[in-house]
Amino acid sequence: MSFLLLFLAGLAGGVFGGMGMGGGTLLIPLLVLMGVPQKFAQAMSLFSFLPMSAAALSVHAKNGLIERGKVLPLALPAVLCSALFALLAFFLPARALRTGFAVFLVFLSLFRFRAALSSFLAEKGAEK
Amino acid sequence: MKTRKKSKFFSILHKLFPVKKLFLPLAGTLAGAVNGLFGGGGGMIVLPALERAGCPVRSAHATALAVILPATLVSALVYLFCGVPFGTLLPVLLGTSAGGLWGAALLPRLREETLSFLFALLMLLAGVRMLLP
Repeated sequence: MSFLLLFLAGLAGGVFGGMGMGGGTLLIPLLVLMGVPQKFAQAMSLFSFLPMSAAALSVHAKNGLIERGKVLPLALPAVLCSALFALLAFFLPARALRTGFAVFLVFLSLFRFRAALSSFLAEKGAEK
Repeated sequence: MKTRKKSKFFSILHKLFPVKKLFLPLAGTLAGAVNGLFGGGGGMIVLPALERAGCPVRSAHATALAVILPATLVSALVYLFCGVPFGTLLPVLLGTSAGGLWGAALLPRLREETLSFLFALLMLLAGVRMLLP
């Protein structure tokens, strides 16, 4: 796989990530459709998320935007489960992960469409 | 109203588990599972959960990041220990870093509705394409 192609896939995923839209959700399918094995693509998505989000998080923390009381009840089970399910991912066939992720993407996009449509309609209503 | 419409899924969760205290840990569990299993997407669950729990949009984004970052770090380490080779990681990392800065700079110049719609369309296309062999 050429350096340039991988760089471009990262760029495309990163642009959306920088806009706060979850770059990993686009990076993984991009990499997989380019021929990167499913589990490598997942690992790349995880690792490439770290530097940018650490930088963003430190800015948010300085601006006092983090609701500390809500971090622990969310983060504790999230950290435990992400370790467990990362292990599980390693034992599952790549095909199952690919299909599962695809279904997750389709569902997410449908929720997004709904949200986008309702905020569009709300804006139209406000204009009238 | 907007946040309620955004997260029908969570309102179903709410009905199944009326105990308010369980809501955030449940959302965290689900987000961690998705993040570990699929290598991303946990933020897509934490963010609407926080909005549902009454966080304003900006601090919901910030708080979601504070939740997903440690979870991502842990699952990335598990992937590393399980032996995923990282020869191809560097170009992707350079790309996402450059793209991330670019995206952050572009954001104020674009219409949010258009962007949201485009993103949803791309996710749908990617999802359908990945379902095919």
